[in-house]
Amino acid sequence: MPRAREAPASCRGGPAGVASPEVLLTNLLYGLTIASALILISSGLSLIFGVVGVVNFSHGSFCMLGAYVGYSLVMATGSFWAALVGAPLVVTAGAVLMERFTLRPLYGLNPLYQLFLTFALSLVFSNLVLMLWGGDTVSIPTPAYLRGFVSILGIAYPTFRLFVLVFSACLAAALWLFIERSVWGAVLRAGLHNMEMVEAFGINTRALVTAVFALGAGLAAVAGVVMGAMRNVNPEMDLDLITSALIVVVIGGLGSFRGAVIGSLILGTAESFGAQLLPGLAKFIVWIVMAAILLWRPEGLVRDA
Amino acid sequence: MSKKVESQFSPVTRRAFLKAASGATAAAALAGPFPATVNVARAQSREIKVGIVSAYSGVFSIIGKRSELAIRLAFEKSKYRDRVKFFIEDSQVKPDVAVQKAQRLVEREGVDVLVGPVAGHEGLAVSEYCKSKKKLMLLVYGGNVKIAGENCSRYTFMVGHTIWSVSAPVVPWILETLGKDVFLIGSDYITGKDIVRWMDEGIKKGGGRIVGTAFPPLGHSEFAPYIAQIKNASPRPKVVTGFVGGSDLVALTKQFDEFGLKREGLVMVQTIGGFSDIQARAMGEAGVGHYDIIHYSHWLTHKENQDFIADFKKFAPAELVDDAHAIGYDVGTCIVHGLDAAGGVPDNEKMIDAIGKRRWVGPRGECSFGPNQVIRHPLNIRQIQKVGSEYRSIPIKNLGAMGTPWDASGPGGACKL
Repeated sequence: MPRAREAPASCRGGPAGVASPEVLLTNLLYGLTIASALILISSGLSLIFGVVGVVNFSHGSFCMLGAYVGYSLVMATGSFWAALVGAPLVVTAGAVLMERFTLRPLYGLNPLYQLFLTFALSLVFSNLVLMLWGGDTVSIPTPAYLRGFVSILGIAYPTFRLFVLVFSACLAAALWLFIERSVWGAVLRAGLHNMEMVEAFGINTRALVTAVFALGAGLAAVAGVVMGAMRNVNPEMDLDLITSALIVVVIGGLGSFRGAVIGSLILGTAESFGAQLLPGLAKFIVWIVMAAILLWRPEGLVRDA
Repeated sequence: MSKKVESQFSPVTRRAFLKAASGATAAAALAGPFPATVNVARAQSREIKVGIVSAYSGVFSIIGKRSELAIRLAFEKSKYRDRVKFFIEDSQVKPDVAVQKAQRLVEREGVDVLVGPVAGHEGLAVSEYCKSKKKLMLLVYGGNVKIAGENCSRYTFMVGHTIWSVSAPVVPWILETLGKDVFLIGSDYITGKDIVRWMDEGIKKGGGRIVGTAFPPLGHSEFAPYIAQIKNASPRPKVVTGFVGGSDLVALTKQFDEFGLKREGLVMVQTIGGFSDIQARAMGEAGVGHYDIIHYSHWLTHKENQDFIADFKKFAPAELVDDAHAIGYDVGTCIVHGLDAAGGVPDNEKMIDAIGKRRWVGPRGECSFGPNQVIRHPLNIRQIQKVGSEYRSIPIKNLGAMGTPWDASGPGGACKL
């Protein structure tokens, strides 16, 4: 097993105060890492809303299921990569079935029905997790070679967090390229504007809806695996994550991929700096930011749908 | 202090049985005319209704289920196994719901004894209700210090612990063993804040120094900003202690390791048994070396614990025995003890008198109740160690018996019973 590197001496605290450049840079990196994982969750939620027209309350459950399936895969195979690849596949398959057999019959009806359905499904998933994995907190072990530190501008930053930052950013960039540059991305963007028009071109919109739903669920499951390795895996993580994702899409604008990216960056850094600078108000700050943006631009910061 | 300590597993000898049986027969014969004897016999054979209002949904559901299983085991091993009937209600960890469910059990189902909920605010609410109804209640967790102090009640027994009894008493050991420069961290709610306040006072009184304090929100799993505060505290702390709740602690411990604090020699001391075997398993290597404080450990070697674990494994093979089981079992044996003392009749007043005087050796060790009817339990420092391929929370030091003060200087004010 490779030996983890020690933190550079220059990064071992000392007289640095709360607002020292070292602390500010550290918080910026924390914020960016969290934001990058949030992008994976919120972009899926946002795209599902844009194309399917459903605010999917069970989206947090996809993260949670991804984390639990990932945990089981790591325990069974000993490989983190098996979890990172396998968990999204399992969750995506489940999401396709869910969309096909529960949501599809409700399309075209009052959107409240879909809202209630996804809320009910999130409760079902929570209980399913309690039944299959129990209520104990677990955690996904990280590979030995991703432990330890890397030095960034004199800051000792955990290697795994850097991996999450780079990996999530690459995935988000690939998603952006897919949406902006590929033929299917063009269909998806068209679908965000006008689904009937897409159908008029002879494109199978049902398959498009299912594909977007599956893509969103898969991304959420990936986020679940990395979050489960960075933090922990517990039966209440779905609520925490869906709350964050909803804040992001409200800030960024429902149905917008760019909005999800910008919203995630704002939320990640607000949480990070808020906890450092105003410790007692860490969570409150996030709500203040959301309320302020809602008052200023009720449609969210970005409208590219 | 009485020297007679009851062991839950001491076998009933033939002589003791015959003595008790003949005494009971003679007492019944002398008690009065035939119909009264029939009434006593009926009372002694009627159903015993035990109501449990506990957490059966959400993350605390695991505590509710585990303690219930252990209560059932205690009855299974008693002579009341065929007479007991359990009534189970989910408190949802909400005081209003807990009281509503307690009301239903007491007033509609007519339960004889109530087993109380797991969280402190629910415990206090249900205790006040039971006080008004003069109904015996035993708390599994619900370690609100007010129940040990100004809100104490003749009808409530705290069988688990108070949040004070499994937190503040660790301070002298920390200062003596780990160092005097301490960083305090507590989840941002009443329990976390109370514990940090008590520890802050204890550390200053003991000649230690608080180098920083942080209150991350409860339910928070991102501790990087708080770890930055610990890293940048001046002077550098030797130990990080306080109370971070449940699953949050797994994230904190992993990130504590991830950001290099453990490698730099800092250790954590978590109160209220945060580093249980189950948590240790979730933390893996990141947890090794950290300490916590609690009354129970699966790895306590005294006979009563070994017997309890063996019995429990037969009763519920899939369960890993932890403190929720141990407390649940003590709750169950306390009820059984009260029933025995009351002649098998669930007479609350007689049961209360008997339970209050009870001294026993259970899975946790030697226990008894203080004048405020709060348990005096052994207190252990545990450390997470890797044994083979397993991560275990091993007891390394017994700090002796610990109760919760009941006078005006106590954490919950003065108890007047």
